[in-house]
Amino acid sequence: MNNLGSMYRFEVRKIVCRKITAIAMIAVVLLMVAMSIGEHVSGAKIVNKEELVLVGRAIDDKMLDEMRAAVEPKTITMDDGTQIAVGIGVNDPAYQPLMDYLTTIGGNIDKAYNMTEADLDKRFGSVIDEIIQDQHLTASEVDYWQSKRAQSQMPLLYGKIQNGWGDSVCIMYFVAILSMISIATTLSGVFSDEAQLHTDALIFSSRNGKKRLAAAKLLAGITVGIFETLVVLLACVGTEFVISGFDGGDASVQFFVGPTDMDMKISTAFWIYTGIMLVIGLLMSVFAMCLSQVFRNSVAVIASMMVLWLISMLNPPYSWRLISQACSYLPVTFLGGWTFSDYRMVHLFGRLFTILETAPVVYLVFTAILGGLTKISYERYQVTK
Amino acid sequence: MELVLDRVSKQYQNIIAADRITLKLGVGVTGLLGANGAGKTTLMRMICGILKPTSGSISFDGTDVSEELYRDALGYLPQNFGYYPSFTGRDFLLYIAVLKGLDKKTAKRKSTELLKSVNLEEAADKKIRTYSGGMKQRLGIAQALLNDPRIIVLDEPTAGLDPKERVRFRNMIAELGKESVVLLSTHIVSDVEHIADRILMMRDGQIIWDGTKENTPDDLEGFYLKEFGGAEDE
Repeated sequence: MNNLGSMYRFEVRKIVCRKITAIAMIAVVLLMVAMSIGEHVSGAKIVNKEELVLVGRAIDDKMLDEMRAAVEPKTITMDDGTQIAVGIGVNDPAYQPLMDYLTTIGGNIDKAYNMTEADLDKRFGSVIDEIIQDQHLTASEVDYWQSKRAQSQMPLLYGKIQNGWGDSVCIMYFVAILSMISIATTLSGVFSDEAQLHTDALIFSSRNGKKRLAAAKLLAGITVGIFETLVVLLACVGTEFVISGFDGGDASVQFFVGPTDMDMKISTAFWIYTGIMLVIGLLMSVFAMCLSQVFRNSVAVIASMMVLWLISMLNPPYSWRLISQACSYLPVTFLGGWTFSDYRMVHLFGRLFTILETAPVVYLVFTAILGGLTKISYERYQVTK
Repeated sequence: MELVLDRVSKQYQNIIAADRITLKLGVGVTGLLGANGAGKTTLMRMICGILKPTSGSISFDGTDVSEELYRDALGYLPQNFGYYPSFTGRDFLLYIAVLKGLDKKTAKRKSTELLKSVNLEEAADKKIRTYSGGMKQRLGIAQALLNDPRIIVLDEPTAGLDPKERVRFRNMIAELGKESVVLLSTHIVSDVEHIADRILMMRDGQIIWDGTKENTPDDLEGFYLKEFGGAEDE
């Protein structure tokens, strides 16, 4: 009999019954909740319920005029007679977060207070142009982004400063890091435990153990890995939405991640990142199991995945185009706000694809390759100890 | 029923663990004796298909060792019998039954039967980590018999058993040898002496002595010690 379903259930049980699985899961969930809460209690974000009236509205001249009526820069006069803005007087608290936001964009209170829609567009455009220049784009890539900007009809829509969707998108790379730690710990023993427990001899001498069990183990590992990713993800977004609420999903992603031509609603960005996070969870699960099969040592698996994390933190200069672009796909640090400012594209079948379009495909291809390698290595394995 | 080894060799870099071994094993118990490093475990692993020979072939009634059909006929108790500490004895047998391709109903029936026959009925639902060494070894023997194997390879099956259990298992193995090809290695010469129909002695990867019950020396232990210079068994 094939017995794949029964083998799968046993393999899931073997992973779940490891004490380290429960410990890793509890630890990363607590850490994720603490990080999500920490973002809010650090004082960097202030709850302002009044600003809800602005949520979803375009930041245009009308809104900026309203802001000027609602706030005024407080100035002091220097000995030489010049006036310097040192703070904001607030008549209507709804507009204070907008003023704060524009101050970050403009660089000082004066520029923020006097900003027009055209200034804002120009400021965003110049930041994007700078990035495009830094990234050594090809002529066809520059053409692509310029035509995209020219066609863009989407105004900059106001979100609120404390926004569950935006906060989740901006903290998603922590979900990837913690999921990786959890997956590395949990799945490191899927294949290596058999050698360490000396059960490999029994398995490989059985009818299904030599071939079909590899598939059952991979499926079981993927199930647990995706489940872990989902739990960490829920711990993160659950905390963010409980604290910040569900309002503001229609705001522009630019409002949270800075100027970008990959403009979309923040809720759309959230769902894209959630989908990619699950694909990353799948990739990391298969990667951990591949290492477990090749090394046959749990500690080596965990250590290798930590090295991958460290490599992800490397930031090669844009001038090393190929290496730098390849590094931008490293899954652990992929899901940051910075990915929206990565304009380097992939030329394929006569078409250009953005990093957000190609990443899930790249991850799925690597998952298939690693899964295949794991199976080949498993079938060639011989019991020598 | 015949297990055939044709010029089977296994070489690890400069070490030859098995050297052109040619054997035909029929129904009955064959005992394998040899000192540490003689190549007994390597030979058994090759027979079980978990170690690939460098050259030569192994087949059972014409079915090559690499085929599923061969593994269907195989029951194996390795020297270092591994288990999952969090599994109960019953779960463990059910798991191995699944690996051996038994259907659910047969797996349950065979597990219950074997737990009873190895005297683990009462401990069947206890975690294996709570088992004594002898209980674990009995579980190991039970798992090897789940699929009613026609080739039974037992690497040190009586290790860890008390004298009473050892006698019980000798009888059980002798019984199995009536219908199956049983290859058994042990460090206790008297185990082989009592139940083996045929005795093989290995040294340096070669079979240096091959005798049947009829031509086995009366003092097998003395003969063995003389042949191997009193070296410890593997």
